[in-house]
Amino acid sequence: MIRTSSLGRGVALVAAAAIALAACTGGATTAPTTAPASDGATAAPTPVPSLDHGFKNGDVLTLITGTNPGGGFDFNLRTIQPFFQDALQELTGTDIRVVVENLPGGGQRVGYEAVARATPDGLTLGLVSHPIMVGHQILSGASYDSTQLTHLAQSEVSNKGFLVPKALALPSRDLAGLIERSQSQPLLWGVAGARTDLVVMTALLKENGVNLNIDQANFDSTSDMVASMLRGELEVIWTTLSSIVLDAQNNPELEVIGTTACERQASAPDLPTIVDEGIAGAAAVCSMADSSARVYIGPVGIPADTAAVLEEALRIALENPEHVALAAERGVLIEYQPGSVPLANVQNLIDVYTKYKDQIAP
Amino acid sequence: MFDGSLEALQILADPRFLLIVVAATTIGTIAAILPGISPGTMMALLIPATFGMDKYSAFGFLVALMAAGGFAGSMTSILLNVPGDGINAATTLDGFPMARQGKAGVAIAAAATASAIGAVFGAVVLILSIPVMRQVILAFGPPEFFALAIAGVALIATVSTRSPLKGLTAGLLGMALGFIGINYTVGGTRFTMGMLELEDGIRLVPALIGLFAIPELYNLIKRNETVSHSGEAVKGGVMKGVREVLRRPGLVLRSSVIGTFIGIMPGVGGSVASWVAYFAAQNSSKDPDSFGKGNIEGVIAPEASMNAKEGGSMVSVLALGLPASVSTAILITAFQIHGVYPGAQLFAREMTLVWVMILALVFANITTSILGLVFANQMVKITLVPAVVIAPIIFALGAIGSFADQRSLFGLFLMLAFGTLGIVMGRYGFPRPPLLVGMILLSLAETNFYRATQISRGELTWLTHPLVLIIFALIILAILLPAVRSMLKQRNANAAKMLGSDGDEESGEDELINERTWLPGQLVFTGSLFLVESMMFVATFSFTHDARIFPQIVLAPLIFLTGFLTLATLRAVIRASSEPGSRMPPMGALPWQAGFIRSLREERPDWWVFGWLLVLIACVWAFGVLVGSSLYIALFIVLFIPRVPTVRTLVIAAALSVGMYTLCHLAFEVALGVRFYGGLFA
Repeated sequence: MIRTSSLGRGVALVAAAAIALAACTGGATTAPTTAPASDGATAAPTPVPSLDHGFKNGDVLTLITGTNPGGGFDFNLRTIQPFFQDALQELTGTDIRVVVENLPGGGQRVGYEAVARATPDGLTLGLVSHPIMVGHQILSGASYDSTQLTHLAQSEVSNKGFLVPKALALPSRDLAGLIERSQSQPLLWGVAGARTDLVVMTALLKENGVNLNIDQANFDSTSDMVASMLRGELEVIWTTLSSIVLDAQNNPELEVIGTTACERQASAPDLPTIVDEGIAGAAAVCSMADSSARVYIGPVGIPADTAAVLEEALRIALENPEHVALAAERGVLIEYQPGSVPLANVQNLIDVYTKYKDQIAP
Repeated sequence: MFDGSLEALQILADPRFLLIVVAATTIGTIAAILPGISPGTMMALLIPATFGMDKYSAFGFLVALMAAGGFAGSMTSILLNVPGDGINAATTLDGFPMARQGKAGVAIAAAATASAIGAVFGAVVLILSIPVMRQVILAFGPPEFFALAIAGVALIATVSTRSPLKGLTAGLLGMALGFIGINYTVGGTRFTMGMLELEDGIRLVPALIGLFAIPELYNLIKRNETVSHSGEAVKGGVMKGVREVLRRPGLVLRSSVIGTFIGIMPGVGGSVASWVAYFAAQNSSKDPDSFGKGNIEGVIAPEASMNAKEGGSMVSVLALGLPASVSTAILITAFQIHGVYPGAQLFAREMTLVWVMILALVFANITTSILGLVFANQMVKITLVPAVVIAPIIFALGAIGSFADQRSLFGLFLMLAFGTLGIVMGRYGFPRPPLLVGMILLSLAETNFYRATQISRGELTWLTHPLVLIIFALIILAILLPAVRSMLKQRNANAAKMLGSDGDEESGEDELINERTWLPGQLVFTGSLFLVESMMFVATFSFTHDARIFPQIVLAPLIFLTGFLTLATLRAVIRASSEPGSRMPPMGALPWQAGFIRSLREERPDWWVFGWLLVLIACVWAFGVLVGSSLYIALFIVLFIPRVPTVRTLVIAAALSVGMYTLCHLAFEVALGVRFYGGLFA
């Protein structure tokens, strides 16, 4: 009925070549150069036999992201994966393997739910946007309670900034200037996404004594907003600082004029913060800004010893200079914090989302 | 402008660089053929592989990976009526009918040649447009994107069927399905029925397999036919296909211009490009009526346009750092990793890199086309394999791809639902491509409608932008042209009749009711659609004001159209029932009736064929995605046609089953890290 043709052989050969190449590249990424000990930036990992970490040879630890391959979260996980695997292997003395899994859907909710419902054996973790995770709990009826999930580490805070055209006439080129200008005519203000911290913070900027007056335009992505601004449409883009710094670099007619962070940023030390400018209501805004973090979480009930090993392995991986440098090339500033820091911010996020529930997209 | 071009040529001549580009092309081609893996996914997964490469090799690799997908999707469109992606759907219209006529080789060769020429054209425009890139891109905004999306749906609805009303119904139905999920611009979750899996909308992979692959294979396995009607492929088709393209320089040039122009606009996508090119080809053809029945111009136009678009889509990436697709978004991530900044800095400091990317794009496209030409004669043999062997493989691959795409069994059910819809639509003369394109373009249309209005601070003045008006005028022309043409033909036919000639019996007829179909079935179908659409309309009143407007604008005419079709069918049913010997459903013999087994060996009834789709779901549910799908192949080959299997059949069934498991295990589980559902016993 079927004859083995040269087509079949060709397809088989090509498939084998592709798979071999994919396997080779995978292999390349799973063997990073270990951070030089002399660097001093990272504590050398040592096995922790005293802890009953529960891992054994052949275990596979899955890092879940709620996004498709190619996005920021996916990139974060694929970058840290070999460093995390190395650290875990050294700490536990096992040949544990770390893999990345994309579970997109429902604005990342599918991935978050998968982590929350996983067996609490430490073999399923996720990288989440803290505000989006809380947003799903408050707005979409997600099954988890964010305060109960195991918080293991915070990798970075997604500080936000204001991108404007250099040609935009403002009383002063900062947030105070934007607020003043908005009183005479609402600013045409671009925000990307729904249920995100940006949408919540836009609500905060409209009230709380800041009293920014805007006409909001919703976009799917920052690149759409930048194109609109270059066409002379949008007056302000309000999004992740690292992203708009690059956009301003690529397009000389645009500039970043401020950030809602509480403190000046190492990546942009000349940029005034909302606190520097002494704007009324700044505290509420920058407190929310500091809660906008990317956090490694696990399900409720991971045994304490297992969680301790995971926290330590994440610290070592996140602080590995090679990893920090790779992230920096994308404009991402890795600022490791232990899991207790984002855990302490959860309640603040819940309060803000609950307060502005009606103003956030249903 | 030509700074760095010589250095780039030297890099291109380096055997190591060529090897990297060829490897990327091969991987991209395989990714495009396997459902559930796109070249974009492969780019994302393989970015870490470029960390250790120099930037020229890295971007040569990524650009080649990106470019390889288009033509691979066209091959499956021609051979199996399965578009690799939304952009390949236009190729199915004439490509697959050509395969049915035994001309798959001609179609593949024509597609390969047109692709290569289109890609070179797009690259040339990319080079020439370097000085004016920014101005060209920034001329288009949300108003123009909205108008183009509407144009895409309107054009496809009119070109893909002999009944524009059914085409329009399918297009609007696709748009209605496109509303499912969260819309970030209007801020609402719509028609998800509380299902988390639907919040991101309907996934393309199960929809594509369901709408296109399942109905085609369903019809083939009913009669155990081969794709090629004649049972043989036309010899010497490859050179004929090449010549057919070279004989039509005007068509290739026009289609390439359309593709490049649309590709430049970030976010518009290739679906619009290939349909606009198809429409233009049909309207300028000497034989427009043969479009959709295997006219080679219907293959050449979308292929040239689709590949020319790649060059166009690179314009916005290089000039502004703005992605026009998932693949170009990943390219921008790679730019950041390798410390490359798009825009003015790129052209000031990195002209060699710009040239390397352009040349890699051309080289990869030409390589895939050459591979297509070289293997065309081998590939057409697929059209000669009995459907009973091809079908379970495609069904199983579809199940695996649908799961891998969404990491959920929900994808399988979605595939089956779309398969059923596709079978019924095909049976009652509703074209499927408008449904797909409507679904894809809805979001583009709605999002840009609101964005344009928000940017105009709530005013609708943007509707009077010159380019918007021009596009709307073209849409009206597109809708009126077929009607005017058929009126003219009718008049000519009448004149011919008066002169004693028979004229063209098909002229001027809108095939609302196909006299060969089982009318009660069509009545149930259109009536059910009418009910579902009405329920959706009622549901819109629970949405916020902004989230409800667009669904109501789409659903109102859709309800009117399906209501009209239901009434027309009802009238035909009443008329037919009064005639003796009215048509009955083709049920075939039932299991308790004499001749049941014999009937299964001849033309199998619908319940038997459809039952085998349910067997796939049962196998996957019980034994997991990989084992269940692989087992299904063996079961299908051995049991679908009831007869005592020969040893050869058993060996083939086992070999295909094991082969499928091994390939998918390696490609999905080992290389991509997909965790499949393991079944009841896992």
